[in-house]
Amino acid sequence: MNAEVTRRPLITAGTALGIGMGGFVDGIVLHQLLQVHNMLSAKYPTRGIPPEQLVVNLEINMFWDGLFHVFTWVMTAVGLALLWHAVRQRNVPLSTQTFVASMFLGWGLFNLVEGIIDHHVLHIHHVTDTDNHLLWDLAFLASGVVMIVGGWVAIAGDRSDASPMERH
Amino acid sequence: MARFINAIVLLAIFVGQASQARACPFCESTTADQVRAGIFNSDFVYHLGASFAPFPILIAILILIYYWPSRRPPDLEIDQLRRDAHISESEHA
Repeated sequence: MNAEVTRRPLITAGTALGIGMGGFVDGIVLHQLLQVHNMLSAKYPTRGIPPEQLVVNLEINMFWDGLFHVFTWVMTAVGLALLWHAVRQRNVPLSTQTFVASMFLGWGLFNLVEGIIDHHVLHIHHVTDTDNHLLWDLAFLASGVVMIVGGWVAIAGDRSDASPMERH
Repeated sequence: MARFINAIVLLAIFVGQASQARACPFCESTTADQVRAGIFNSDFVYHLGASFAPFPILIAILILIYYWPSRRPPDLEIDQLRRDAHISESEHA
């Protein structure tokens, strides 16, 4: 008897990898390259303070940014484990469109959930800790919504015939 | 092996003399004391929870995606239905 064909394992794996890698994009591009969006920058600001205090605040933020990267690393590892689980099942079609779309779905979920909780509920940081941070925070949320909708539409519209039974 | 040991000793000397870098959370300096005080204080657990907060929600969403019931019949069931219909038509003919 054939097992039920399902894309769920692949979508879950791609979403987990998207969350993890979206977190890494956030950490690398925003936290490190642009040096904004640091984890506790609303409480320990890194703008407009004396250099001596700036060093202390930067290092405190660096510590919590490191912890944030631990979580994103764990999510990426979970995603890899789920992907391994998916590719070993013969009833899971390995569609590139579904997988890539799922990663965008995960990235969007990361931006949306992280943005709502950290920026708007807990207020531990904002995208930029400046007077007009709301605009940037809303843009961050919007980017999440766009990737979620785009990913979801691409997953739903995937009609590729990646038959699992033809896999070796 | 001797070269390796020499390299380690040299590295240790350079690291040991890099006093300007002694501002890490686990070093000994006034700045490091301030950094430690800013991290390991009464708000540590709150900050830990706040940093961790999005992830249980994201994991819950992953679980939902995996286990949420499908709205349409699985592809194989559709194929089976089509095959059954074809057989039925052939029998009638």
